[in-house]
Amino acid sequence: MHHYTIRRTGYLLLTLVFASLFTFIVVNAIPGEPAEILTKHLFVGLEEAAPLEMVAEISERCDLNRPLLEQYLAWVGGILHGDLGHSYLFNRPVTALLKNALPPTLLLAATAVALALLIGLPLGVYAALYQDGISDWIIRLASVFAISMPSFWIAVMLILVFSIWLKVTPVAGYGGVGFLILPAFALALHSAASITRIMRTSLLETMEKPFITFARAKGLSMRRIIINHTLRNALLPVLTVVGMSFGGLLAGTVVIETIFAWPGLGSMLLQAISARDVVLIQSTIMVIVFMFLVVNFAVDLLYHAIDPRITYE
Amino acid sequence: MSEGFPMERVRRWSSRIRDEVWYSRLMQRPSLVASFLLIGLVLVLSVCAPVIAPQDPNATDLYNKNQGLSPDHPFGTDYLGRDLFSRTICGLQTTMSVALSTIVLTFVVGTAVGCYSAYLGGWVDEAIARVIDVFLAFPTIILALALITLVGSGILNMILILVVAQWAPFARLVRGQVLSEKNQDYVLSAKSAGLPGWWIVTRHILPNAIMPVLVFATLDIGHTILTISTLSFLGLGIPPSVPEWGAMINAGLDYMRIAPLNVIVPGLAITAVTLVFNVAGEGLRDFMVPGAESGVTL
Repeated sequence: MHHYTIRRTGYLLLTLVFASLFTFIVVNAIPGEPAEILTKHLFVGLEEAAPLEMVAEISERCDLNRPLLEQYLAWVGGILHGDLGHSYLFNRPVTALLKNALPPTLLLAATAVALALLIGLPLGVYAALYQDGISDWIIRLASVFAISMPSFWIAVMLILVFSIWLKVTPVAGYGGVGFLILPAFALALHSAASITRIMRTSLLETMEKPFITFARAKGLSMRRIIINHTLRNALLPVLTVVGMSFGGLLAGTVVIETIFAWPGLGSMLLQAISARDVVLIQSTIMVIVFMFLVVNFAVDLLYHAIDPRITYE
Repeated sequence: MSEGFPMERVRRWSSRIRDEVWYSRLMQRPSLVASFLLIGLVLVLSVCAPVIAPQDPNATDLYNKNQGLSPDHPFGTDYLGRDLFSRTICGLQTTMSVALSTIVLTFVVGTAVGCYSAYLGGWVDEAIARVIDVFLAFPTIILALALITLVGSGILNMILILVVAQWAPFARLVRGQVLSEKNQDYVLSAKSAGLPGWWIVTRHILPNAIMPVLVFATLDIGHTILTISTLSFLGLGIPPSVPEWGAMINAGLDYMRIAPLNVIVPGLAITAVTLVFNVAGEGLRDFMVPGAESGVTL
């Protein structure tokens, strides 16, 4: 267990270092002088070349004149010191921007995960209990449908039905629970469907195991067998799916937050990309990658703690 | 039909296929057969899209913009009066050509890297495995967004970006498959017979290892279609002159109140096509790799 944790931590750090290098190279290889693109972006309608002194000032303030390797090391050093540089799009420190954008995204993602579990677990158990019945059939059909719908379209349809036709929810924005429902649901639906399916399959598979036959032979009631014996064993694959779908959730925030004008990491990343704000792009991507890796790492360790026979590799 | 057409041979083949075990197993799964027929239909529709479309998908008609359902425009018209039915059908061609090219290229790259890495072993394999890990650390859309800023939008760039963003899971799957096969006795005997490595990999290991990868590829087509439409919805994928479903939904957002068909129709099209590939992929998985349903890799 101990060795395993140490090795996995090593891999995690190694992956983070290479991911940061990769992100830095990709983002900084964007053609064009970043400062010039940005000046044009800040002053829309500036068709001719941007004023040289303005470009120079932005380059100076955002440290864009130094050699790339030096910039990379400064960035990584900055990550360790909590100083990620200066966003020229918002003219504010990146750290402050991330600090503002992180809570809304975490709120949205956590609500979506909770919603996905609340929908997925009961539906999966229900479908498994009534295997091959009409409700099982409907649940399976609905989950395949849900997986096949793009999440941005789910969001648009939710706005159309609940905000425009029924007028029960606000269209977009950030604030009370009313603003949270639609984006969280649009984000959760894919994961909910995956959880439903894996819960159903895993429960059915566990029911076939010899120890369940033994419990039945002992004369235990079906209810006790399912609650005490089956569910706990069947939840393992569900854990993996929850961990894996977290990556999809984080990626989904980019489009969902943009649609609902949610002031989180995803919508900020998209703004940064359209303005070519390299300093902001690289740090936002790394925060997303970091969260993704850490969640998967935690799921992995948890998995290993629950069932020590299973290791990564 | 020319005189030399080997009719007799075709008859022999078809009777031999009917005697095969997999044929009777396949016929016991009507949903799998039906979904593959539907894939065939989707492919035919996408190839024939320009012929089927009743009107030019880019012909504007400002007197008839944002119309509802009518005999002239079975799905209505968009904000420029373009026929939504024609645009949706042509959008199928755009999506399918990008998605299929992406999957074929991803499959080739992933299989080549996975095989090379696993069969060679040693530090090369270790290094490639770490590279795969780094690529897996990025959610697909995030990686695609970063790459789009680098190479810009456009159909060829889109395919390139999607291949770079998706090859890693393929390579990981192939690597795992080859690793579990390469110490089998038949590989050992092929080696002791003095066969070259590339021959052993392509002729002996791959046929035994490739099935789960093919299933994964089929399932991944649906995922790719969703990614394509998401990127276009964000205005970052395919140029606006080409009809594409995600871009159509984005353009329809402003007119959602008066012309909801603009956002409903392309979304239904995305869902339908993705659904067909998902059902086919899952059917294929249950058919080819029994017991894999709860597996994490698939």
